[in-house]
Amino acid sequence: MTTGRFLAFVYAVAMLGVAWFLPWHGDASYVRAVRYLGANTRMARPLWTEPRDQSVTGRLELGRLEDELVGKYLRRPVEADARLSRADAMPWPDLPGEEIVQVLLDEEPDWLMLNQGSTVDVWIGQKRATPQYAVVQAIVASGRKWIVLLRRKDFAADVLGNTADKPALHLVRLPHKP
Amino acid sequence: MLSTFLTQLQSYFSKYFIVGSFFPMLAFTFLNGLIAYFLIGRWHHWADENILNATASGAAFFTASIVVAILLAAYVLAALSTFLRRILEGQWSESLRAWFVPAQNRRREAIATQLSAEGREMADLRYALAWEEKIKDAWAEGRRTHPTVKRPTPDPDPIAVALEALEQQRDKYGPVPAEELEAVAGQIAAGLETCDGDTSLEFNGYNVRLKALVQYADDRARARYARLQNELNSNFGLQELAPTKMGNVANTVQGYAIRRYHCNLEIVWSNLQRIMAKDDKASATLQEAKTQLDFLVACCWLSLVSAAAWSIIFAFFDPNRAGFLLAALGGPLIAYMWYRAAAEQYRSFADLVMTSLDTFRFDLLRQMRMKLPVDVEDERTMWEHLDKLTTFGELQNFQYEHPKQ
Repeated sequence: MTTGRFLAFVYAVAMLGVAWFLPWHGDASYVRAVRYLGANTRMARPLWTEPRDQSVTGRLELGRLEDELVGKYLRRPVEADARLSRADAMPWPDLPGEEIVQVLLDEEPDWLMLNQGSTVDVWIGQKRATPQYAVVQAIVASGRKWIVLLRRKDFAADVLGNTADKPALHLVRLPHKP
Repeated sequence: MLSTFLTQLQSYFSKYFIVGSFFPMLAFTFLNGLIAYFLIGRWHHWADENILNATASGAAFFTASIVVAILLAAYVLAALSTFLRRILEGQWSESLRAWFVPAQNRRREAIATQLSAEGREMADLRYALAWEEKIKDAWAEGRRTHPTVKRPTPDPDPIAVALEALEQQRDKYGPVPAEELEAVAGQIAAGLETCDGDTSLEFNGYNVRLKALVQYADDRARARYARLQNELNSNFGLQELAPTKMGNVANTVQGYAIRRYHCNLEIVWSNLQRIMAKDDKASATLQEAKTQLDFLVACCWLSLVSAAAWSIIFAFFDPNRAGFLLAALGGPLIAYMWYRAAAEQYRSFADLVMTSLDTFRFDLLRQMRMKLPVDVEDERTMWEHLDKLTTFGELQNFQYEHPKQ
């Protein structure tokens, strides 16, 4: 092997070594939260904005990041306009070990308005089931339907035995920073 | 607009500067700007605001500023062109040269070994006449000692098999070694000694086939010898080996001048250029070849600089493995391709310099008030003496020949 070829080989190996420490795609890519988002918020595109002045590879990477974030749950609370990245996402909500009540939704909710932290009122038939309102703990998918998870203790003790009527959920207050 | 600009530019700068330095700088700036436009968001935003979507006056201001910057950079590139070319020619420190010279030496030795082998082959094939004589003698001997005896043809016939094997080599334009031809000639002669060749008709055919093979082997060896000699002459000079291919091609000019005329071209090159300048066509042809060389050398360096810049960007400012690998490995590869193209162009340039020496050397001697040599030997002696006088300051007396008033 000639010196030139040897040096070219060493150079190529060195460059591959440097490349090893670089990300395939920018792990540094991020989006910004449009409002305060609590932990266990189900993530959807209306909840963030894209940073401006992105390069072509930056935009490609951003699209990949957004695809990965959609449908996941926020690991920690995020302030309005703070960065959201892959590290903030988890595949399933992390709920405390307490009794929950599930309320079915037929349609996908407006994630900006109805999500973790939203205050809701639940009615079963003509009876109000949540005397002091309830705070949404998380919303998970079930086939084509959506299940809103609420704390059992937010419900009146005598309303949940009656299963003939379907619970109806009304949004009372948007999610806000506690 | 661009053509007007180029026309105006040409009136201030020579066309050789425009082609050799300005165009490469313009092309690389545009290319890098275009890549940056798609890859760097801030540049994309700035270009959109100040050039692409700007008002006419704003866009004109920034475009003019960029062109002036390119012009200045091209001027610097032109000033550095000799330095940059010399680096590619391998004018490095002695210790660095020592690393790369052995590879060039092996390359030269490989050609020289093949050349020597072809020379030996040509020399061996000169004995073909002796082989023919041997066959003739054997024919006569067989006819005398075994009249009317027909050779019992073996199956397979070893002579036919050997000839066929050599003919197959010929069909592939492969080597047909002289020693194998000699062996076949020996087989034919041995066969003829045991029979009457006039009755064993296959020997006529064998003789014709052997002669055709000898002719082929001789033609091939001569053609290869000439090609290898040209390859050696156009790749390596006679002086010290340079550590790069381009450096050795550059040495061929001096090598030719010494081999052909015993002339040290370096000491007369400036004077020769002055003489050539009087011939517009020759001067322009040489300048154009030099400009093309400068263009390729500039492209080689600009590729390297661009690759280095993008490697740094993809390593530190916008970390991206694919982009980094593309810049760090692809960039030098492209630069190497430019370098190879430049080395080939150097060969054309060297050819032109050699031709210029052939054409203008007597004009040069006349200009130097030297008496014109009467023959080749006289000319070689004259150049040798001139070299001793100029390079070493040895006293060599020349009689001047002044033009008649």
